[in-house]
Amino acid sequence: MKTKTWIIVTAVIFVVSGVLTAAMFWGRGRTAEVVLDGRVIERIDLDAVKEGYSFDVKCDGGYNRIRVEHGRICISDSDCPDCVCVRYGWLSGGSVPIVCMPHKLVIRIADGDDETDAVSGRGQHG
Amino acid sequence: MFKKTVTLLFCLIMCGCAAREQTAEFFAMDTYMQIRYHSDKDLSDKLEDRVRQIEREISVTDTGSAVYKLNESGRAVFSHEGSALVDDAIGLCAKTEGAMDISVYPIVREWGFTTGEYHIPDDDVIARLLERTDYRLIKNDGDIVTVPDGMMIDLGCIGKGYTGDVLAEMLREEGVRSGILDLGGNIQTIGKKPDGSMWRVGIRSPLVTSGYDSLGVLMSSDEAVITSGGYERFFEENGKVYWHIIDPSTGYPAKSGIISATVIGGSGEVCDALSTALFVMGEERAADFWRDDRSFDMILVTDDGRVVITPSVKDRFTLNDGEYLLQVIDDEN
Repeated sequence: MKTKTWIIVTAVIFVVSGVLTAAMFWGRGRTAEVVLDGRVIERIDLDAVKEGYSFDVKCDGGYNRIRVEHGRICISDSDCPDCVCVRYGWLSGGSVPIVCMPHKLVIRIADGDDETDAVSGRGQHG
Repeated sequence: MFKKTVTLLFCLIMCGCAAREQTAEFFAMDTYMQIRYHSDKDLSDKLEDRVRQIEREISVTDTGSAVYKLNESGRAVFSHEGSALVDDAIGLCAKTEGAMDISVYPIVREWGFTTGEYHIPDDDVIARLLERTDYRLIKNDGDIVTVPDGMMIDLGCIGKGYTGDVLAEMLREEGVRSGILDLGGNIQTIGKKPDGSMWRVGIRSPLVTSGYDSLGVLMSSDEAVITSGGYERFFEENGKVYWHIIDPSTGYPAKSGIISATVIGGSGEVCDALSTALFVMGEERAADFWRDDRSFDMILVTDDGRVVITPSVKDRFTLNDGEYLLQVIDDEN
């Protein structure tokens, strides 16, 4: 093949991958994932939430009440023994998920953060 | 030349596709573990099985574990791995002159930190338990470990750090060159990020009670970054805060002036132990310990608002929180 053809092929590859990448990220807000015992049970686009709402997740032997507002999510109530998950407060980004150890429940932001890849000292129960 | 460049580019793109980011996540050792690594193989089950294997040996609550049996009867047969871990732990207790002591477990339990039923024990109860707190009385003879009557041990202060070492080694043997392990806030990094930049490890701010803002960010590669703080397990009574890190010399929560101790080094096991020990030692003793040892780096946060770091951390640590004053430890004795 001629050099010109190669230039065109390369250009096409770059343009197509650029468009695909843009399509993947376009309009996508911060997505919270609610994970129960390793299984994603809810995906919530936090930036698309207009009015706040709550829902309960029934877990092995108890429940967690999850509160969702525009751009943020938290566990507002739980009948777990230590309530470390409630103490966490609001999650709106970052690489540290809300964890309820006793109920094996995790709430995290998918592709959440560019500030840190992980945080040291998350604590014994989180 | 141009063709070669394009072909090379093509290969690079293809290689990038083959090794993708994999995540293993599970609950183990009383915590949530998340391991991210770049590989074309899914190693999740293998990693989790290995964690469970270690947990089965060193758990203090699993009735089948060697540690449980030792605590129940004063004698237990350990596997070679478990026995080596006991030896390592005793060695680290000695190295820190008892600032970390694996036999402090009955006191931690008495305070309710293992069960969540917190209370302040009576002074005479603590005095009685302190008599049985001494790692030097633990004997390990050919994988048979014995402790005196009434003594119990917990390898929790090195368990997760050790597990991180084992998992990182497993991943490296599988050809993984980029990864980050988060074992309940114990961080271990493998290589650099796929884009060639260093991993960005946040250090949790010890004073924040809600949310998880980072005090600062450490650029990290091929090492363990482990933080001990009083913030996660604590209770308040009559306006006083009592946290789970017990000073083995007093039987009370360590009040050394340090509110968070981060240790950075090659071995997760050592960093895990030292983060607890330095928290108990306090700033001055910790600085002396570092000057004598030098095999690790540290970031200490003091209760008067200072962040004290070792000299080589300076160039790769960024303090985010303007409330704190950054100080570099004097290199000289």
